[in-house]
Amino acid sequence: MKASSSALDATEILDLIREAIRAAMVPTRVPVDEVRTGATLAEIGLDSMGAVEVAARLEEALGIRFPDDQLARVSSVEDLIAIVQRQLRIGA
Amino acid sequence: MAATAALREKIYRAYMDFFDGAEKKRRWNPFHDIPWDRHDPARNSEDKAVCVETFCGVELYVPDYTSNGFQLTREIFGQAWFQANWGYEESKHALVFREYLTRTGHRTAEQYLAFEEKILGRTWNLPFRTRRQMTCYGALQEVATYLIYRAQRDRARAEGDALLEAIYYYVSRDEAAHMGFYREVLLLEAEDDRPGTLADLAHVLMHFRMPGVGLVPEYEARLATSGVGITPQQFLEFGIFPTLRKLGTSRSELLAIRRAQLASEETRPPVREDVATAVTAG
Repeated sequence: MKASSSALDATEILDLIREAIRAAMVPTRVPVDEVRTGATLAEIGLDSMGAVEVAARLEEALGIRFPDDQLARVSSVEDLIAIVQRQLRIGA
Repeated sequence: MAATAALREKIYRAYMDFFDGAEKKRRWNPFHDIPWDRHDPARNSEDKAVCVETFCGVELYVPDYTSNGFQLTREIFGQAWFQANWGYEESKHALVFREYLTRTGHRTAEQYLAFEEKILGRTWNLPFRTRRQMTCYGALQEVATYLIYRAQRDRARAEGDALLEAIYYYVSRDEAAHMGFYREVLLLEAEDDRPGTLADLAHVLMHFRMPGVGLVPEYEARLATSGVGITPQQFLEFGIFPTLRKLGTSRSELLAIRRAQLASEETRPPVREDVATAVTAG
């Protein structure tokens, strides 16, 4: 998985998040295809290290780096999308 | 894995610092230092009872925690003596929670004993096999417990509940000290064997569960009660990331180690149950 865009929209990032969850092989409470923007990480079933693994997959795919303090505040898919967009803008 | 003489000496020094601090600053008496006379029955609530009862349930496994812990640490003075001191302090936590439940009327003596019987009808077993892995576990578990008690203390303070605030103040202060000791020992372990320590930490992080899971009755339902648990975000910010920083590592390095472990596990034949049991017992 290697994306190459500094201007991905939310839908594209959501697809990448689903792909990252699959690649991380972390157990989830819902099928990965049903992961929606409004879902919390708790609803998906991502615990602390699950979130770290998914974040790492996104970082590798997009060539970005999430600051630890920001990653520690991610509690939903929406938060994750926002942090990806922010880091893509910084890197653009 | 035997600890070197140098490592044992460093752990002893770390324990001396811990013990000296405990003796000078942290000793407290559940009967005389807690303002029992400030209990206000009008402030009783089932939420508070569920929280304290759950914490009490987890602390009631002190006999299992200590007996298992001693099996792993008995050859290392600093860690074995820490285990003894730790057991003493945790036993006070169970005691003060028990006293709170019955003195305040949140639970009758009969209700408490029925709960205790359920708890002690189950046994806590070591979640990890080696002393160093259990040190990793201790560092993470103690910070989680500290954060939970600290949040309860802040909540009690905001609600003007002086009794609960005092209880949570003392127990959270103890947990913070325990966390500090475990982190210190983990750093010493990393100085002694960095690859091995990080491999253990990666393994423990991926399999971490709080000690009450699967033991305390209706644990999942209790977690739904405000304040019984902490969020994954809090655990990351105050538990996992500071531990990684203390060891001079990063989540990227830990994940790389974990992926290598998983790849290795995939190519290795499954461990027979009797072998796994023998390793645990040894």
